[in-house]
Formats: sequence, C-alpha cells, structure tokens
Amino acid sequence: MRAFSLKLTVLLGTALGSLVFAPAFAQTTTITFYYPVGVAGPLARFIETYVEEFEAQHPDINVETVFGGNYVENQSKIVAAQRAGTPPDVAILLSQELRTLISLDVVESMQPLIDADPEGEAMIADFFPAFLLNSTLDGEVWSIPFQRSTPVLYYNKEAFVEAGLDPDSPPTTWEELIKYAKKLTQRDAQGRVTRYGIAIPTGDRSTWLTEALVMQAGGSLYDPNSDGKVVTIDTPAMRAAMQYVYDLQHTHEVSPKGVIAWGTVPNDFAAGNVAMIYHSTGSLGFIRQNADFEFGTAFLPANKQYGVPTGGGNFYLLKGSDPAKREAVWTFTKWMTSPELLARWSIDSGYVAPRISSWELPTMKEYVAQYPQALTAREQLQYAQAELPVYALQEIKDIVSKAEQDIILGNAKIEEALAEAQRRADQVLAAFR
Amino acid sequence: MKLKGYGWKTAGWMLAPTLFFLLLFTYGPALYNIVTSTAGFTRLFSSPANRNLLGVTLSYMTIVIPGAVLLGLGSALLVDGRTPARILARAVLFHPVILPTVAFAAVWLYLLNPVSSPIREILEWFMGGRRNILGSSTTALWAVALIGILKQFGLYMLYFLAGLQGIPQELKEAAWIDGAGRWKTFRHVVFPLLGPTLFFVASTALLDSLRNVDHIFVLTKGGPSDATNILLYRIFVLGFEYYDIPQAGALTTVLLFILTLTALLTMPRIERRVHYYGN
Repeated sequence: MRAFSLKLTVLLGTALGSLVFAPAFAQTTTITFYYPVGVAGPLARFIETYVEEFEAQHPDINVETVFGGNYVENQSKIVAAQRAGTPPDVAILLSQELRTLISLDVVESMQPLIDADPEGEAMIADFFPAFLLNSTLDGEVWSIPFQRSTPVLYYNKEAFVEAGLDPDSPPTTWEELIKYAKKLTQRDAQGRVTRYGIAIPTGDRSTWLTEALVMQAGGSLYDPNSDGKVVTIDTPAMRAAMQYVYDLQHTHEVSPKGVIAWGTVPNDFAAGNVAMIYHSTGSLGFIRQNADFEFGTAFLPANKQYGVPTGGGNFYLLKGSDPAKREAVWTFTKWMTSPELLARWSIDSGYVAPRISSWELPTMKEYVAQYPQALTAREQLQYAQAELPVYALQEIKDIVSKAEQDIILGNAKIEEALAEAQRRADQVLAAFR
Repeated sequence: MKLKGYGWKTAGWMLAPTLFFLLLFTYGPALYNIVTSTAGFTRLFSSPANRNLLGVTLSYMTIVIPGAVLLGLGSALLVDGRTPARILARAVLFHPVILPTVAFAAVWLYLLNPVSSPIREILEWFMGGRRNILGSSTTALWAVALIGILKQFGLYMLYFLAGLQGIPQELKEAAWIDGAGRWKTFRHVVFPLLGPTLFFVASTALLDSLRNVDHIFVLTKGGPSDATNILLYRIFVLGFEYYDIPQAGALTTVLLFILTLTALLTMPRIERRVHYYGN
C-alpha cells in the first residue's frame, strides 16, 4: 500500500507541476511528424537535419520526428496511432495510398490549408503535373509531393565498354535490353555467372516495376475511369510483361533467378555484380556514393511505348490531429516542400525535386551539370502515369505480386496465374463497389 | 484451502496487482477479441492465402522445434564443463540470443544474397550450385526456419546446462563404476534425469515457434509466393496492413486456442516433474 500511495503522490505531483509550468511553454507548438525511408542510404539522417534547421529557424514550433520504417511499416504505425486517438499531425505516406487512406478515414485534405494561404495556388502550380496525379482527387489536392520518383535503368558504363557496347547509348527497347544483357553477362570457366546482365526486383510485395512493364506494353494495371475500384490484371499487356520477366531469367539466363529482393539490388549493382538494374531514382545517392565505376541512367526501355508510374511519398494531414496546430503544420509542410529544400533533398537522396522552380536554383544546376544521371527521372516524367491508385492497395499489390512470383518460380503458367489473380482482386474490390 | 493464518482476503490483496494487469492487458483483450472476431470466421477458409497458412505454419514448426531443441541439447552436452574453451564456446553459441532478431536476420539477408554474398562460394558448394535461397519457394522456408533455430537454440542450451548441473555427480560415477560408457551413461542416467528440462524446453520451443516472426519481416515478408507466410505474420498483415480486423481477430483466436491448449497440456506435466530422482 505504501508503494501505491508513493506512486499516486508522484503522479499528482507531476500533474500539478505541469499545470503550474504549462503557461511558460504556451508559445511553443509541438507537432508530431512520421516519415518512412523507402530506398537505400542514410536518408533518415538527412530528414533529421532538415527538421533541426527548421526548428532553429522557427523557435515557436517544435517538431517531434518519428522514423516509421519502410512505407508499409510507417503506414501501419500511423493508422494504429490514429485508431488509438493519438495521430501524428503530419506524415509522409505513399502518394498512391490516397484512396485507401480515405476509405480508412485517416487523412484530411490539404486543400483548405492551400486555399487559406495567399501563396498556396502558385505553390501548387509549381509542381510537375505528373506528381500531382496521385495527389489529387476530383480537383482537390489532398497531399503535397515530397520524395517523388520514377524508376530508371542504371547501367555500368565500364561493363558496357568491356562488352564492346557504346557506354553512351543504353538500350531503348526490350529487345535491345535482352541483346545487351546477353553481352554483359559474364561466366567463368565452369559456366557459373560472375556478372549478370540485368536485375529487375520482383520481391517486397511491390508492383511498382510491374506497372512500368505493363505501361510499356501499352496497358495499365487499373481502369482509370473506375474511381480506384477496378484492376486489370488478366490483360495482353500484363501477359507480355510477365513473359519478358520470365524470359530474362529462364530463356536468356541473363538475370539472377527467383524472386529478387528490392532492397539489395542497388548494392549488387554498386558491387559490380549486375551490369544493369531497374530501380528507383531515389537510390541514385546511394549508388553514386558506393559504385567505384562510371555509371549512367536511362529511361526504362520501351516495348510499344515508354512508360513508368510515378512513385514515392507525399506530406499528408492526419485526421483527428489538433486543429489548433494546423498553422504550425502548414508552416512546416511548406518549409519542407519549398523549392530550396526539395532541391537539397533531391541532391542528398536522388529523388526527383517535384517543383519546377527547384531546377532553376544554382545549387541544382551545378549538381545536374556534375551528375547528369539525375536528369533522367525528371525527363522521363513526360511518359509518366499515375501509380496504381486503388482501394485496399496492399492487398491488391500482394495478389498481383504473388501471381508474378508464381510465374517467375515456375509454380504456375502465366495465363492461369493472371486469371486467378484477377478473380481474387475482383473479389476484394467488390466490397468497395 | 485455508493457508495458515491467512484468508482469502489476504490472498486476494496479494494477487490484485498482477491480476489487475493480467485482466487489463491479457485476459480482457483476449476475450474481447474472441467476441468481436466471430464475423471473421466465415471468411477464414474462403481466402486462398489462409488455406495455405496452416500447412506452412506446421512445416515451419516441424523444422524449428526439433531442430532447436536437439541443437540446444547437443551443444549443452558439448560445452558442459569448466575449461576456458567450453566457457568461450558457450558464450559464442549463446550470442545470437542477445542480438536483436532484426539485426541478426539482416546479417543473414546479406549473407544469403544470391548475387553479392561474401560467402557465395561456400553456399554454392553446399547447395550444389547457385541458388537464390530466399527467393525460391522450396528453399525459403528452410532458410527462415534454420535462421529461427540459430537465433533461439542458445537459450535452450542454457536451460539444458542448468538441467545438467542439477544431475548429481554420484549417479554418473555409480554408472561408470558399473562399467557404463559415455553413451550408456547418457542414455540411462543423464537423459532420463533431463526429462523435466527437455519437456520444459520442448514446450517453450513450441510456443516460441508460433511467436517469433521478426526474421520473416526482414528476410522474406512471407514470400516468395506465400512460402513463408506463417500464422502470426499473416495476422499482422491482415490486421495492420489490410486493416481487416475481423479476419485478423479470427486468426488470432485460432492462435490463442493453439497456445492455450499447448500450455494446458504441458504445464501440469512440468509441475509433476517426470523423473526418477526426487528431492
């Protein structure tokens, strides 16, 4: 009993104490900010540095950062926190999760904050339209682009020279890529591969690169007129995409076999063990710092056409967070998505600075002159489409990705796997129709 | 049932602090889950991903439980003793237990990488050619199971060492005088006396195999193609990634049922101390 009263005393004391001292801190607003890291490299450190600088410039705002893991983990934490009644005020989440987040009643539109700011409209007009595709719903901007990307082809220029290929003309079509990959694949005396021609990640329950292949084959993984309620998996374009991935591994044997993990591929490339990879432009920073050879970046090769989905994360406003803090949240969001900071973030990470005016800044011009590889993802935006924006997103991604893995592993024929995936996806989305 | 000098009231007061937290954080939520998850049961077996689940979970347990228990027992027998080499060996074998599972798994993710692994040559020799161990459905389950074993067996070794130290020296000496060799001493004296320890370790291993999933998050995320999608990982995905609480709740009820049944079946036996050497 004595211990109990002691605890009670301490509790009461703390409560009273905070009442007494509370007014002293009244001018400081504390906001909570969750963020993920989705690509290779020490990106969390950069984010923490930016936040520290923001706090130094805004002594009245205190930002509590929470590193939430990768995109999926970060979102799980945020939804759990929101369900528990303690949502963060602002967070970076995948831009393509918009509909899923709305259906979970987790996010609020940023539009009122944009409207309330006299500079708001001009600010939004400064973003590349492609990056607003997944951020906008019925003309309303729900989230502000921050770490945005497109997938690009990284290629090892030294390996190109070695294989007798021109290091300044990377493959532009699927056929060319296969031809190049064959030349770039090296085997030892026993026939074991010492360097692979190409690696396209197929793991980590993601469909991002699959979508790119489908777009290149002239299709899409979803019906754009269905308000996020129809996915189109069992299509000629998807079959072509799956055949391509399968052939690289099994017919031409120019790629590592089996399911290829997303996270380790940049390292395989930087170590010189794979001559070409498909990966996010966000990994450019990591590859630049770790590859001790000259490398280039290029558009993902075309089949019927060039095509990539945009990707990456936006600033979202969380439902149920304190409305009194909205001003601080907006100040922070605006600072983090300013042309200057987005340029810096782009240079630090490799993500595409999503604001047009970032590219006019002297630091950015200097960076691009030194690393022209950074331009590829931006120029590729002209072929970019919205990324899979459907409801129940992760479940749909898992269904598509399982079909793809079954095909690669030889567990199922392409037609069977895709028909089955289509059936299951329709079942899941039926709940939203 | 009245203890000398104390009544139910005293017992109640003494149990109250523990009971309060158990009710609030264990029994309460468990009951709440069972009541609210009934809606999820109807859909439980219609999902193809769930149908596959029980088989994968059972295969995983079949590898992990005997593997970790036997490895724990074997290494305990090998490193029992006071020579510096054995003490060092104990520390080395126990080391994975104190590492965070995520870090331990991340190291293996790097080691098993089919393209840039620093131990590629060894793996190729061992597997008879290059294999994408974590990226193919046949080997991935074995790999996560073996990594699960390596992470955990050091703890079981510790239990067995404690058990071994509880065996009176004079019994072993008596066996030696009677002409028993190392194997016979083990078979007829040591092993029977380790009975309660073995039983305890086996049930702990069973519970652990159902509870430990951290390495799956790092190594395979349930893939490739659901090959390592075990019960608890699936519950997490359903609950916190699909936000399908009823179905996650239904599967949690299934898990709870298995765990409770195991505990009910094993705990009384452990307390009965099934061995021949009384106090």
